[in-house]
Amino acid sequence: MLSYLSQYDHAFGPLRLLQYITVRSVGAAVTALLIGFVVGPVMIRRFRELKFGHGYIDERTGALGATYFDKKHTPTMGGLIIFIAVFFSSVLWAAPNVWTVVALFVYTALTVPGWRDDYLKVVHKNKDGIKSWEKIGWQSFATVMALAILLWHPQSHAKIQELWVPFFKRAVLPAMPPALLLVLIYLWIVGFSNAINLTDGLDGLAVGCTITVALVFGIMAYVAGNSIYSQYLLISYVPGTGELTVVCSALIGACMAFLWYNSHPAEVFMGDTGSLALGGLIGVMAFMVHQPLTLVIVGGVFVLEAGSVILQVGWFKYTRRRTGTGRRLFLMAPIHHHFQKKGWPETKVVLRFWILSLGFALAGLATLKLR
Amino acid sequence: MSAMIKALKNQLDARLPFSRTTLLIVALWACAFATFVALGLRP
Repeated sequence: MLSYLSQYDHAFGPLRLLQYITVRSVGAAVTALLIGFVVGPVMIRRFRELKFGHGYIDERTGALGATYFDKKHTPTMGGLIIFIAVFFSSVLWAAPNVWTVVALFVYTALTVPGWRDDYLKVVHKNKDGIKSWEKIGWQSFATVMALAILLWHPQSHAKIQELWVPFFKRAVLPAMPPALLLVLIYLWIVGFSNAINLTDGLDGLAVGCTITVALVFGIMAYVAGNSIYSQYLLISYVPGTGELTVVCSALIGACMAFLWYNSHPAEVFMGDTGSLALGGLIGVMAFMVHQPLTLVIVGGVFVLEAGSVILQVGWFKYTRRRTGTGRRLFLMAPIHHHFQKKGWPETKVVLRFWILSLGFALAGLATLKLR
Repeated sequence: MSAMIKALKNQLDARLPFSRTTLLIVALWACAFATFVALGLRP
């Protein structure tokens, strides 16, 4: 909201800088970083006092958990640190418009079930967390509300119905039926929420990959919101989405601060509080900047992680039906545990996945020029 | 009257897992977001 101060540049000249998205993006990243560094230690200390650690052995990792890492006393719910930093910083630096409101709404609406899930797991020692119908209910509520706002608002009404895919100069569907749009946005929000949730199994893995995705979508939002750059790159021009660059910058700053505490050996985990909401935020932003399929490339690590689980389960069920004995494709799924089982140290797996994530991010950026 | 307010305050402190300062910050934050939404959704 600081952008409104630029109207008073006649009273104090430097205030005119606040009209520039680039300046506010830097401000948002620095603010979120500082909030993360201030709030982080306080919250970690509080979580430890409240014994907000999992306190149980994760059945998925089983013996691996006991052999390689003793993480049961590390507090979770660290996603709240990211949430507070992103939210404060975005409200402060981003200009309010329908795109930023929807992004922050989805982020908030998905932080709630994530937090409840963690709360039930760590406080009530309920291994399953919230019921699956409750989680689906929250995700459906966030999607339907977001779509309703986007279809209702005159600034976004026509634009949100266009479907753009990489390598095409025009919208492949200029006016999608709302039902199809609902299904696609729902799939993206739920899919990426769960994909980040699955990726969040090693220290710094999910948050590190989120930084590269946020960086790419910050750039994409900037070019989509700029009539000159979008015309030059032959991508969709979506007025107002440039403000999502500020949200992405806040996300980068918050994730960097969180990574400081989440780096191996982690002092805190983001938990479902962070992973569900981050996936939803990235998923909905990809639609708003007309780059939904590019997210599949940019978030390649998340797709690999979710894909490995789907393949593992699918192959196991298929072989059990055909031969009577279930077989596994990987030593363990999600795929990062497969490499741990092969003997790679945790930090090596994380660093190599970050390298992959950077590669996917560059590949995603390249699609901007190849049309 | 003041004794009643004091009793209510004590009860609030005992029941809430957060301090009143935290609640104040959250309330201010909610107001800021409400303003953000109102400004953002203006047609």
